[in-house]
Amino acid sequence: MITMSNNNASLRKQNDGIIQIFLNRTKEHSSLIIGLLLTVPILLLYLIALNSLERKGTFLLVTLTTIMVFFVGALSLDLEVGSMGLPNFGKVAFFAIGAYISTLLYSEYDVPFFIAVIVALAFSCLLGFIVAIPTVKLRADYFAIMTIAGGEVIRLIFQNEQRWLWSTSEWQETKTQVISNKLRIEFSGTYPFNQRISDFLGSFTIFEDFGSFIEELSQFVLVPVLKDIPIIKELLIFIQTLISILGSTIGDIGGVFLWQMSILIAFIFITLIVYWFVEFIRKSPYGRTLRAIREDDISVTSVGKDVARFRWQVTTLAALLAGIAGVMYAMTFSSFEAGEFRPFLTFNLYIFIIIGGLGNSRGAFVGTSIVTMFLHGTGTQAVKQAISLHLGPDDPLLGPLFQMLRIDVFITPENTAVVVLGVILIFFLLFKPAGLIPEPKTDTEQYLSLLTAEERQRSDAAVLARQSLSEKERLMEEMEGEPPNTISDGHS
Amino acid sequence: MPVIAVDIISNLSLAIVYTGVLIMLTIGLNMVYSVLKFSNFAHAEWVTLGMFAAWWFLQILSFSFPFDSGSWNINIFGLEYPVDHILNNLFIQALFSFIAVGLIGILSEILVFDRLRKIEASPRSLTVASIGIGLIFRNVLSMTFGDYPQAKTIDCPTCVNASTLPSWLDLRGIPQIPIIKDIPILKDILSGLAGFLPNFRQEIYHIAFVRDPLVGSSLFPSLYPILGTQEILITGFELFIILMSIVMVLAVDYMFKSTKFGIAMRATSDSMELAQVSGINTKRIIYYTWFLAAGLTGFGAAFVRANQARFSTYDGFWLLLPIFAVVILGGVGSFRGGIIAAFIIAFSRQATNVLFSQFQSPGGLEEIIEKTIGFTITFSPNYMDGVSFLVLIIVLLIRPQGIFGTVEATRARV
Repeated sequence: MITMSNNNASLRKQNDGIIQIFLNRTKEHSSLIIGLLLTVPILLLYLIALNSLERKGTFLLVTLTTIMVFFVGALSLDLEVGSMGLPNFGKVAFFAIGAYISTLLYSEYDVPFFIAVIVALAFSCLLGFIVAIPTVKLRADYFAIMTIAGGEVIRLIFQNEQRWLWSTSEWQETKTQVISNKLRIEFSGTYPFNQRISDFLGSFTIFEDFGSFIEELSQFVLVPVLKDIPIIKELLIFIQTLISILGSTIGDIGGVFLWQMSILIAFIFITLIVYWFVEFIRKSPYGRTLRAIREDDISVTSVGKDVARFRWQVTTLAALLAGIAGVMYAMTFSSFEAGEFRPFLTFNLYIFIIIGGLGNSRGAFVGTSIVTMFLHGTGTQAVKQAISLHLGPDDPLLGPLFQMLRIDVFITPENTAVVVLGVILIFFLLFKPAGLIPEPKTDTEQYLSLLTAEERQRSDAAVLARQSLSEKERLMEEMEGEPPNTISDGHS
Repeated sequence: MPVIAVDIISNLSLAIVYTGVLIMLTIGLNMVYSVLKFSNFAHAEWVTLGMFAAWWFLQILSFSFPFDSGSWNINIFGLEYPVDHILNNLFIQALFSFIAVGLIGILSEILVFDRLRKIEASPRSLTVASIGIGLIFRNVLSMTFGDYPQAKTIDCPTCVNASTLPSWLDLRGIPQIPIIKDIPILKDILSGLAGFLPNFRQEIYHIAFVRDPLVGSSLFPSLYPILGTQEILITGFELFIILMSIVMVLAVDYMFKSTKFGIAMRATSDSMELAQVSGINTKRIIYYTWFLAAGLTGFGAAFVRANQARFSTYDGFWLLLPIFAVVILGGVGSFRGGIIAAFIIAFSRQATNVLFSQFQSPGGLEEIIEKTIGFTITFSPNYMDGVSFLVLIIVLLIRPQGIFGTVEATRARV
């Protein structure tokens, strides 16, 4: 008996060990595991959506264009929130300014497009500069509310200023709230751009050939020996399907209009420049200062840096980027209105950067792509039909319950997508606050090793003194902050 | 033409009603803000949830009880009450939504905010999490009830046929053509008030102080050439909103200032460690705070819904920023400050509406500016919603701690 129990105990110990090792491994690779758990279903969903469509190439192109637009917006937000720690909830205002001013100047006041864009960006920068003023003394959450209110004020101005900021429509004399994007309409109507790509290629069917080549590849490569084992067989068929979807999508790109393609190429170009620029800032000493301000602005002041200057510079820069994103956003629509620029757009940007990981550009890209693909995938007709469900009194199983509760549940893809996004957002905040791609840690040892022993000691002493000082400050504040009569009330 | 072209009294009454709405819905946010110290954007969804819960409870009640008309009577304490007075009683609906929304508040604390505080997340994370909660609830609601909820017309043989239901039930979410009670004499107002307490029909009380003698009778018809039309159109629900908001805010203020529970809440808000040391169960206090904050918001929202022609899943969200404006202008943690702030915001909103409509009228400011400078900008009355945002921004710039603020706004900077 004793030996058996001993055996059991040792077995359990061994098991615990295995579980422990497993848990440790999971912890080590948690980013990868969560990333796969999130990415793979979304990619599959997107592929299913793609497969169901007639015009696969156009759909892919639209998704890519949207990703580019929101990636620039997310980079702008991440520069403020991730690098600097300013919770700006009014990002949508910069989008609105970029979109409205560039479009209106071109289509209503006949200003050349480049000048229109420059004016729009200038306005955006001005607003960004103004946003920096309250950061001097406001608490973080107050700043958040203030920016959200400011964004709404800007939206109301665009919505109601009918003399200057409304658009004259083509077929009626009165001004309307719906802004028609003349540049986009002209651009998609002029000769070389209103043709499909395949029209130019003539007899060269590059895309079709490449697509069918990949489709053939899927037939050819995956004829293995193991085909008889059922699971493997199904898996292979699945992979074959995926590859053939990819092939037919590539084959369909020839059917895309040239203007769509050129907008995408221009956007990719702009995005690359913005990405490089943001990365350049992040890696420079300037970016290090920003991170230091985010962690502890008083220390940064004590080393002689002007924190206010850094703040207005970053908010202006982020406003410039958001303005660019706004101009791009306008180009994706042939017409838009002020209702597009509600606070929900800012919330979406927050979801992008929190899922991707705060404080790094690759994270912003991953977050933006995953969420945009998810939203576009759920927007297609096939997925809509698959998800849509009506639970009501006619339901055979739960019908009486619904009858009693007087409710009819219509599970719709639009709402389900947002619910899923909200759940993912909260999940990330709770269990993975660093996001899918965590911010790379600055290797301080690398710089500290350059110091001599005496300098090192001095710096350590300074850090210690700072810590004890802030601790002391906190205690003093707590003692002073409490009015004496509160305490006596509490005990009486 | 009368000298005064604006119906001042009716605009005042509209502003006072809006003040009542703001005061009712602000209490919960103020509590959470002062005790837990983060801006809870999910508060918007507590409002929406309260509206839906109250409406849903009315649906269940009206379909579960088999009756044909409002003529059924129930004997309570020897008094005969018609059944519809109990079923269609706004207080019962509001109590239901108090409990339902309060429980959801506790649930969100257990599932999200408590855990976030345990991993020492920044206030920004808490705010973003509350946005996420808001997204979830808003969309679940619109899946369950639809964006603009309407009563279901599915009939079962055992249920009462919808056509035989009493006409006062606002089953479609849209009130029937209301009964307008003309009350030209002050004495009738009181007798009218006596009538609406048990029964919550959609009734509009019309008090004409001065109006055109050709249109109808009024209290002071001889003053018409000077004052113009001055009359009040107010629903029974609106009277109730004003009354309830004052009762609620004074009760909560008393609780917060003078009861042991309120002192425990304030102690928790000052320092959680010190409160625990002095024997306060801070966890329980936080749960109670959530229950009360969310519940009171739902309770108020039930009254607000009853007064609306129709309501949607976004109603709460559009009220969120005015509510925040009231809390910050009044000062976080100060309920009496909230009353004054609600007055300021509601009156400035209504004043903007009146002034800007006057500016746009022929011969108004727009025309004058256009004549003198050559161009003008639009003074649209739709800007009235922006006024509260503007007040919010200005207050934050000048006096971030609000009128009676106790919470330091500048301790931990951005």
